[in-house]
Amino acid sequence: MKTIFNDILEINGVIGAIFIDKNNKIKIEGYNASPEPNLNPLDLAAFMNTIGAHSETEIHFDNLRLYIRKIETGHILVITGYNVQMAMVRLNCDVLEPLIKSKFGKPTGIGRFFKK
Amino acid sequence: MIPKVLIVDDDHIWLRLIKKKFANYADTFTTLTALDGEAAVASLKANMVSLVVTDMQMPKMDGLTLLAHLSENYPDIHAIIMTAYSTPVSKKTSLAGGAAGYIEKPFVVEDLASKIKKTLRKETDGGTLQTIPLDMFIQLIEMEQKTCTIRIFNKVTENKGILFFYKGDLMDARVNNRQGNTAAYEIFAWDNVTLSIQNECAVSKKKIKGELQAILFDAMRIKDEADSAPEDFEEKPPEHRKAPPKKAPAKQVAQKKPVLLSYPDMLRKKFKAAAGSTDSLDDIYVDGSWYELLEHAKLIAPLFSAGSLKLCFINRDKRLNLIVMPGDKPTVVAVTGSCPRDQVMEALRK
Repeated sequence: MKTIFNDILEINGVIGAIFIDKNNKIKIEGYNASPEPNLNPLDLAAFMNTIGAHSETEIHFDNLRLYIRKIETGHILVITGYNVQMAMVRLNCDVLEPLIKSKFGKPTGIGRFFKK
Repeated sequence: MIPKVLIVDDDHIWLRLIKKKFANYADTFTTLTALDGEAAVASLKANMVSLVVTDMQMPKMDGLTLLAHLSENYPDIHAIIMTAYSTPVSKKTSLAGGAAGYIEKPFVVEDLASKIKKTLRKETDGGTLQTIPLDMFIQLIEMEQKTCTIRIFNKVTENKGILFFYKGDLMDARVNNRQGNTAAYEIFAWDNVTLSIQNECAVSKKKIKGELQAILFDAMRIKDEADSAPEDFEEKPPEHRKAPPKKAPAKQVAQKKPVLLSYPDMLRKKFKAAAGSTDSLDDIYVDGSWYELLEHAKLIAPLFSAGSLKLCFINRDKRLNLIVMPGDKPTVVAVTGSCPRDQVMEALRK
């Protein structure tokens, strides 16, 4: 499931990207570095609940930062270092939003009455 | 550095009118008003006033008593007396009491404005300096044994301070409501300043204790310690601070009540250095409601081997964003949408 995050992961300094749905479940994740983080679903769910409705949240730690973008279907979480063009990360999240929505969002219009 | 003029009169309609008229002079001076002498004293405590224009007859505290208060506590602040009942005796009494000017009511507003401008010019008769380091300039004054009054405008915090020198000797200092050594420590720690020089010193009684070099040395030490970002707002008492590094021999100062830059002032300073101005800074305040979010952020940090939490940026809407600084009391730096957020966050993180 790395493909959808290919572009964002190609940005220099991006460590990983995760899509978390509205139920705080990890749906897609991709990483450049190993070992991959061992995410505890309970901790992550509690954290995502406190993020709430803010459209963007950026958390800076000593070693890295987390950029969290709220989208209609959940949250995109990007893990980056500090030598990253954040404008590029934001732009990629703008691009990702419709892609993720088409994959995980509820169908709208007449299409929702027909099984795929 | 626009000077503030305090106008004192018990006629509130006239006061409102003159404030409105003086709005046309906003690029030369700003106007504060007070309805009597007592309100004027309170306003003098709260603001760095450059000139007082006062009526003679007022309830609570009249113009002459206010004049006496000024010459006792703020000898550098000039006063212009205005009165409707002018007599040669009252004029003589006012000028003897320290008034720099006298104007009879009724008068044309432009006349008073020109008197104000003329008096304010005295504040900068020795010139204005924009870029010279304050500590270097002070040492020059001492070496040259100059008599002058230096008005200092802190371009970062937009605070104002004043230093009085008589033949190179630092007589007194004042910033906000603080005087003496305490004020000197605070002013000497400022580094991005504009200096206005007045070629006279109205202070005759020395209130500064200790040698100028020792005060300067201590102020630099306090500044260095303040620059290493405190975790909290509260000032630690001096005995909790580290001992100063032995850079140069300095004489002990009898009175040591140094004032550190407050945490919000430091954040403001860093913000301005990163953004170039504080135009996009809306406010800095403590808000405990962010504690939970910060605690959760700390909890997930080990999952990513992220290290310790530095700050949290929250985009609420396009107009106002928040940068939350962790601590016992989370501090919020509210910024507008036009803020160069990446540069600002980098500066605040460091």
